[in-house]
Amino acid sequence: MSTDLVLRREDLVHNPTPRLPICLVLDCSPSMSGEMRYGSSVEQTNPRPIDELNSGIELFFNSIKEDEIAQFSAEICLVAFSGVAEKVLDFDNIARIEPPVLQLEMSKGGTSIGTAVNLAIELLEERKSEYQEVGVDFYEPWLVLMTDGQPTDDSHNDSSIKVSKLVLESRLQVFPIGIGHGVDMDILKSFSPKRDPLKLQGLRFREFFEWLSKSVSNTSQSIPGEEIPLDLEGIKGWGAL
Amino acid sequence: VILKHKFAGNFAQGKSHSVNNTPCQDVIKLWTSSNSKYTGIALADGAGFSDKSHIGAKYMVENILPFISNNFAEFYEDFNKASEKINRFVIDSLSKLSNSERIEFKNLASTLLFVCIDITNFKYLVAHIGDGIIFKESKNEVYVLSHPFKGEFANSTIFTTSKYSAYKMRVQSGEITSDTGFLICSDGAAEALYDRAQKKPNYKLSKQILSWLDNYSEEEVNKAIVSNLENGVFKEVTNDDCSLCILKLSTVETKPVSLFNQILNTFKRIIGFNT
Repeated sequence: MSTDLVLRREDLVHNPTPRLPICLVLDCSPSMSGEMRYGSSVEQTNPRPIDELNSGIELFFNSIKEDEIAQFSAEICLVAFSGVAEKVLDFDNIARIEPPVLQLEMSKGGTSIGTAVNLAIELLEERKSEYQEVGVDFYEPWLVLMTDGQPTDDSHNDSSIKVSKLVLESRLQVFPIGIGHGVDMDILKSFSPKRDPLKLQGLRFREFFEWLSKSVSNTSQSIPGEEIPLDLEGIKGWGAL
Repeated sequence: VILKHKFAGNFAQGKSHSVNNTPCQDVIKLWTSSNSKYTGIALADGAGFSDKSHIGAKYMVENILPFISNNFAEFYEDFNKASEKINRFVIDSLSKLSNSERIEFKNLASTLLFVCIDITNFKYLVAHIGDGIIFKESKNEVYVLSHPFKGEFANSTIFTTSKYSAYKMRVQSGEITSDTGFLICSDGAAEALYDRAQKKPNYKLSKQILSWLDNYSEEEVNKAIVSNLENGVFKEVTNDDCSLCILKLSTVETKPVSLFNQILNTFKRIIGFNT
């Protein structure tokens, strides 16, 4: 074949990989220490939930970094919350950053789920605007909410309405995950009108984050019109209704 | 003056489809009417959510150009009306196919892009549903005639089965000359041929592809397209199915006019006789 019938690599345009913005909203309240008080006696679970959570986050980051497409697509932001919510990690390409190590918020008791979710929505909207400004395509954003407790204020009432609206308009994917026996699954359900929240089996954070990274990988390879079904079989390895 | 056309086109299965064992969902059609008055190229990319969408895509590319040619004059005059009527044809065709093949209507969804040319009157009509690109070449410059329609998110677009809107069926018309060319491609091939952020063509590659029919036969260009789609730069940038079609008005022939006809034409002009 004549050389002018062959298109050369050097002449390619380099379109950026469509991004998948993911905000992890993680409970760092004192209950994640695994310390349980029964009157004057104190029991400590081993390992501590917060340590297992950190280990799961590290595995999640490493799994994404090893995926040839997802590493350029997934952008992670992290909000930690107790009585207050704080952005621990701003959106960035996962290949460029190291996983953060979350600390327990021992001095800031409480579980303000609504404040944290509101902050997450704000951050996701800002990121979407940035993509639009520079002409980068992006997938439907993800919000992963993990908590082991019950809200200690009413902020979840407004934020759950806001999130549910986005979910019903297919503009946000929400993954609410309950941890332990103290979690209020009805509150988590109020954030997720399309699918029921899931409960983590024991402290299977690693299995959950492994499943999450596979789901990120599937989405980052999807093409227009393709519906990405959740790996329901995979959920059995870490979660239950 | 008679314009002559050449066209070529081909498609290739993407890696994501071969890994998942799903068929290539891109379909193309190169078509000329039996009286040679109309010609055209059409391309459809079946929706990824359905493993039957290539059936709807094939049906549309087989049937759309004859339908357009039968109504060309009317559609050329009013492309808002054309937009509605073409959409009605698409929906009715897919509904019939859905009944005859017992496939759910929504599972026949595809994008659709076509260029139809009235070669004797030097006119074109293009229409576009969903993503993919229609490029036009004129006076040796390439530009985007119709951009991809994307929803808010990267994996969303409009399909033939979607509810009608002005965004859904985008129709344009214009005139052709001896240096006009068209290049249509699916979203997979667009990854190499279109700068998404700047919304501009990859000038170098699109001009190169459009020049092929100036120098090579249709058969040679068909082979070159499939070779590049299967083994070349397209595989570097996408795992999706890829397809592209080119139509080029490449040569001009002058009809020999006898002395008698020249005198007759001059006489007709003088007396104002309009054929």
